[in-house]
Amino acid sequence: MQPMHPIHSFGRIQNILDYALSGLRRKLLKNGTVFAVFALVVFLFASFQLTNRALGELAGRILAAAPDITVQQLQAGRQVGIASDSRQVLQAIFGVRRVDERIWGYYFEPTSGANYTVVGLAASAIPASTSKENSWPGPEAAAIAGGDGSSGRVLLSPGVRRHMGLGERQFFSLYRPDLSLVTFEAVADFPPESDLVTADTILMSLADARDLFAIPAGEVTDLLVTVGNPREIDTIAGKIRELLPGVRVVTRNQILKSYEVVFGWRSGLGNLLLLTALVTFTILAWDKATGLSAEDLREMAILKVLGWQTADLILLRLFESVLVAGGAFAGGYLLAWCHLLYADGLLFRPIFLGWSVLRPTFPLVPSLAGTDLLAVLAISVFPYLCATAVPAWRAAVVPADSVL
Amino acid sequence: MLLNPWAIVLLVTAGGSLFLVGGSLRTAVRVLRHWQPGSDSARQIDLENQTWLAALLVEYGLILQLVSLFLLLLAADNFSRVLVGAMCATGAFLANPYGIPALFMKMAGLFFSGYWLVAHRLDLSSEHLPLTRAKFVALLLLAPLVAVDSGLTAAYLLNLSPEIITSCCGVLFAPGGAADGYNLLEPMAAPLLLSLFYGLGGLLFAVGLFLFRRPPQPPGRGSLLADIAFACGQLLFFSLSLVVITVVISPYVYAMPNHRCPFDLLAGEYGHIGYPLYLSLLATCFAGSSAAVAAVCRHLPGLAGPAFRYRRAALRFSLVMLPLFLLIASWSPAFYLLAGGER
Repeated sequence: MQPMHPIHSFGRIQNILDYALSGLRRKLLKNGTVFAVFALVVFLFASFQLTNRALGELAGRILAAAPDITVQQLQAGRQVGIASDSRQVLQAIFGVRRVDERIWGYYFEPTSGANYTVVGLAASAIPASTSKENSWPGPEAAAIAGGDGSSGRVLLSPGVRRHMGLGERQFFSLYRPDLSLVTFEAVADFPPESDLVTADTILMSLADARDLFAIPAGEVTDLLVTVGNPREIDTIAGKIRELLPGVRVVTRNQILKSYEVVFGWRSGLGNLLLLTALVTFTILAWDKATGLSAEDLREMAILKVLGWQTADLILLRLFESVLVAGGAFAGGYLLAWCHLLYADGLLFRPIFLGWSVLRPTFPLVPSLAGTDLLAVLAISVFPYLCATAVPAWRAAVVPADSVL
Repeated sequence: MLLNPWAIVLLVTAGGSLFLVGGSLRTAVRVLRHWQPGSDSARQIDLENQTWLAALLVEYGLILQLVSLFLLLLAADNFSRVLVGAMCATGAFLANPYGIPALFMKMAGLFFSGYWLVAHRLDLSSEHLPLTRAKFVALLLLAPLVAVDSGLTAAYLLNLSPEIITSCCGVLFAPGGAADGYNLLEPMAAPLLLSLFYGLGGLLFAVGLFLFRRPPQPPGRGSLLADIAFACGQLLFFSLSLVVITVVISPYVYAMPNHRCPFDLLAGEYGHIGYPLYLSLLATCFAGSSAAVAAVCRHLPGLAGPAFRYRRAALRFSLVMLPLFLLIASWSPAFYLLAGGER
């Protein structure tokens, strides 16, 4: 057995690294193919991970202004209108800061086949947001405030405006259930950042929504509870369940968790499908690394004759793999980043957001998180390094005398 | 929740390490049956070549295991955003009965894997390869550990469901049986814990310094026992530190008396203090205890020099990291007590 030198002096490592780099340069075509395919695999995984995070963060930002607790009445397991009187019951709970009424529903537009979500809020219930980015419904919402009565003024999403073919016009009409027309004035658009939740929304005053849907007085769709101390939300939600029998109580945290679950599930499904790509790539990498040409064998044998040891040759192969994998990882991740930033995640957007006539079109902002990097690294680079371990050994134990 | 991206990453790493360690078992069995260091038969030469591959596979597999511990922690933190009632990784780990065992198994695996790698490196430094047989016996013991670890991780992920309601760390780690009586760590009082913690820390530093300064000769039975006792002390200190960090130190970091959580320390809100804290603890205890591995091997042919050098380096490293760990751990409580308030 040849003597071994496990002490990795810096000079020795530097020399092996140097040789590995020159080797990669010499076999540019072979390594280039592996590099390109590997970068593509990393790009796919990283795209899912980055889109997932960007969407989760966006949902969190948008929902920051959502009500703490939403209370809805259920009857026979289906949602029905809730009596406005329940508001007094909720207001009496210690810790509740405010209770607002909301009427909302879907308005089907038969000509285009689109469903608009019509939301009616009392003027006082519209969150006074100061910054443009944070949310629903945005600073323009105050524009619909015309006292608590009917104002006829609404806020639209850019998608609805486009879909209705409004262009620059401000007035449009919708049908009541008895087919009489109501005219509305579109005073402003939602900011594009909130498109994830407002893509199909028309926001109007409570009285206008009641009029449009012909909902009887004294009844609303749901009640929105604002709680003073966020840590008391769950306790107060429990109290509401006890006080109002047969209601459904949804907290903002639950909505956020549902978004996380949905995005996580879709991203996971995507990853699962990508595993086939990973397996294919691993086989390709294995195959490329195993197929030792006569020239490769000669090179290994000459190195051995020159005094290189098995450990050095294994290290050499490891460095080659790490250089290819590291480069491809950086390239693929950067590509995924650019794809999300400049092309808005064009390729994978339908998977995350579903299909609808009015599809959300908000800009996605990728964020650099160490955890994402580690996750993508673990699922792409490690399997590659594992796949090249056996070929590295096979090349390193080549008997020099028989080859030369 | 197998369709969560983190779950898939964890399963791929678990599968990878299982595949690598499993792949080397065949060589392990062959080495145990036919290994003859003095022989130069074709079979022995082939076997020596095979041991290179097996060791390489195990090295990769064990490194994958080490990374998967961090992945598991990060994944649990991610799951806590999805599970009802969970506010941090504690709740995610307790969402089903496999979470905590999977975590402990990974930590145990971390130490065993590390010792194996130390033995492997020492083995390669002697031309007689004196540890080869012992190394592969250890591998036969290590492989089931990796298998159980992968099984527990898979069971944890399989049984994780967003609908299951779990608890928050404020309830789980509250002292004195407060809250609803469901506590993981309740009985010990802070003064007792702290005296044990600093007492053992100080003792380990003193013993470590003594072992480090002692002349290399003669390495008798007594000195070997001292090394082994020191290693056991380090492992005890590791467990004790985890309890102390959770129950006593973490509330000072969070500046909230009811927030007792070992995982939130890793979060950005608290300056990622958990990373230097846990890494320095891990470095101290692993380096300190692995010195015993070298001490056990030093009488083997060709290993006296390398084992001595490794033991000395490991002790020195442990002696540097231990005060660093104690400093990081004591920083928040000391600041609170001296300055009379939060940072």
